Amino acid sequence: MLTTPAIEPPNALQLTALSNLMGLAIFGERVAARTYVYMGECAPEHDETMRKFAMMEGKHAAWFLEASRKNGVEPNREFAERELGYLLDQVDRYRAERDFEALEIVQGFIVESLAIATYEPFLEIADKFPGTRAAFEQALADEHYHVAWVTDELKRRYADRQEEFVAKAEAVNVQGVDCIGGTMMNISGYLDTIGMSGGDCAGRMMDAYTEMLENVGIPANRAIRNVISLFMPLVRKYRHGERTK
Amino acid sequence: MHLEAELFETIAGFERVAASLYGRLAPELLTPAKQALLAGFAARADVPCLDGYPELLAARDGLVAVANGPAIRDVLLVQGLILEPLASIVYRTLSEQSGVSDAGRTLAALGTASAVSVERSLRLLIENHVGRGDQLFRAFVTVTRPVLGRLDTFGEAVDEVFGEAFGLRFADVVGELGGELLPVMTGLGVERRKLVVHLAQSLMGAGSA
Repeated sequence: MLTTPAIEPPNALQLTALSNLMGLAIFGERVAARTYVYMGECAPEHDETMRKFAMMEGKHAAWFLEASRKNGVEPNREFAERELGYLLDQVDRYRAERDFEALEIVQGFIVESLAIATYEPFLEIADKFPGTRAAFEQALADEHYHVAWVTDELKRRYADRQEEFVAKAEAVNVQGVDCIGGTMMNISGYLDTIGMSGGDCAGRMMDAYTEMLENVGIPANRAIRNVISLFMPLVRKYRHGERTK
Repeated sequence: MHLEAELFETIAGFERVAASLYGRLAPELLTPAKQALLAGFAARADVPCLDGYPELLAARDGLVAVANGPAIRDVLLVQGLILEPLASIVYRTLSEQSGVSDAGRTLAALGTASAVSVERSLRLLIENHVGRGDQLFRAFVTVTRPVLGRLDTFGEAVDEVFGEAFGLRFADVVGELGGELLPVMTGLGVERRKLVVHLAQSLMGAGSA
């Protein structure tokens, strides 16, 4: 008779790591919801779609909170706020400037690439944490849907204006990749602790973001050049055991 | 230009090791352009001693020590795909600096020509001696992980000594390296995501999943 190997319950260290990671996921989803609402304000023609996206992100946050509680974990909000405060500043600035395209890149691409790069491999270990699989599976599918919409919108918006898109993306990347890539470095150890690989997730994020830029028309080698050069100072801090923020 | 000779000598250290490995294991890569570059280095009037930069020297020698594997696949993948493009990027950066001497400009041009000549033969050699696709990727991971793991330690020393004088930022050099590596490796059938994940893991010094 075939038997399924028993899944060991998470230990205290893993639950602490999960508390930080879930705090980040929940707060990140709430920030995402707010950013999509701001995007609707900046581009009223897309307001309905952006509100729909915001609702979806809000639901992810609620599902993740429920999943955390099922595992006896209280999401670490303080950790998440410290990680994402810098992102909020950038989002607020673009909102004040009514810069829809910059918000599309920072939310639709950079933040979503962090989500996709961590949710996807999380599914490989999700069964260790009861109640998380369905929430992360649906959230991952939704994030891909958001990225596809943003990609199409940016392609239309920047058709025949490729160099302008490159300049815009590179300008947004300076702070956006520094912040979100920095968070990726800061959670790397927690990802390792719960049985994922921080290095693998960082690479997936770099690749996913490169692919998003490529899909709007930036040649892959140019996109990866920009992404790696922005990640390297963060990698250096990581190697020295320093936090990025 | 201040520190120009020291930067060339730093790179010359890699070139001498590459030439020795090519001579023993991959003579096709010891091209006339590579030999002309080595002759150019040997003919320099001013060859500085790097003893005054112990961290730079240690970082360079540490990188060289893990980059001289004894098999042809090490030579093709480490020297050919990592260190040759790296040197080429530095030569290009130097040739774009207004303050570089005429002799320095000549050396940088020889360096660029040398890198181009190696690149021309490299792809076919890799296909013949290492393979394509997953087979190539597995070998690439094995032989480049220690090199990439030490790359930014060398980069830190380069930034410290040469960053201000040349506007050289090693993060940009590694970015350029990624931009050059990507089309070569995907052209050889390596899946892009796997390559980028390997680069990130190795540069971070993180283990594979």
